[in-house]
Amino acid sequence: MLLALVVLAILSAYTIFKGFSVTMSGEENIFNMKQEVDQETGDWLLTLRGQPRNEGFLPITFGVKVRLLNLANETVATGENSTQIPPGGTGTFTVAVRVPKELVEQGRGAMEVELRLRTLMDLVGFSIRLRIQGEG
Amino acid sequence: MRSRTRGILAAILYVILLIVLPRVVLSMLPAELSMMLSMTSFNLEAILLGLTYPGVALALLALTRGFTNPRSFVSLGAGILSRLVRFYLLLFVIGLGQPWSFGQMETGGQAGQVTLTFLLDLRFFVALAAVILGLGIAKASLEHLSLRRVVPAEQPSEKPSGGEAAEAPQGGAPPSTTEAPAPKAKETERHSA
Repeated sequence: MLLALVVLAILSAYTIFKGFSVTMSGEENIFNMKQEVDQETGDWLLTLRGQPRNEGFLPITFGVKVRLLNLANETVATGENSTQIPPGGTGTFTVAVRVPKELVEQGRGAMEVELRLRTLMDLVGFSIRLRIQGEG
Repeated sequence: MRSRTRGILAAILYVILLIVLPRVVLSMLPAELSMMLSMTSFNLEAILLGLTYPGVALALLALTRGFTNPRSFVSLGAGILSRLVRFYLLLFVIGLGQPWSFGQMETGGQAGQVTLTFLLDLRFFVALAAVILGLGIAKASLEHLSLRRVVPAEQPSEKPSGGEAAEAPQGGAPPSTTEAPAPKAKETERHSA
């Protein structure tokens, strides 16, 4: 029983860290961010696309969440998507967020990008949350 | 003797694995990596100490188990305590030095206007280890109970020979012959009859 636990832990850890090392390797087409301006409202449309690969031994669920926060730390806009990737396979995700014109003009607030990777039937996971504070 | 040797060997193994080996590994770390780790929230000295205390505790408990009767409550207590310490050690390792995060470790740092947070969720393994701990304690307790029950069951078969030997002096044998064999005692009984 203990041996099975150790094997599962090693497999999960390997899958998670292999998945993140591929994601963070900076290879082309893994992440692609596009910014457009809505001519009618003046809002920004941020689109984050990605094609993460799974080089581990177990299937993974790769999730991305983008949040925009105002100065009061309230969520102004949010976008989320996830994809399930089999071992050796590739998945795709698209997250679209509309940034209100006021927030763009103020240049204040924060943007938070969270990459989530879960494996072993979503029982084990690792996430990285990057928060970039706007200049005020 | 066998259980004592096992206890001593287990204690030596715990000292090597949890006290000596981490220090050796730390001394062999490249300087760049040590510098990188010192920039994060990891306190390597605290992690070393955090491994040393359970290592000492496990070594002492292994010695206690080795040098006590397996039927004694001390041995049972040492067995249960060593399981609890091992569970604590698992929490410590999984939580990367934060045992009370119970498998949900959060660490990170800030550089200028960028904040980076890492979240590691290994609660499943903690839950599984807790179940194994519970089963292990139950097994140890049941084994101990069964060992203690064996003793009274064996006693009636041992008593007659021991009892006869003890009664022998009362039957007229000199006090110095307390180690007298059973046939001698039977002879005195026949004589008195």
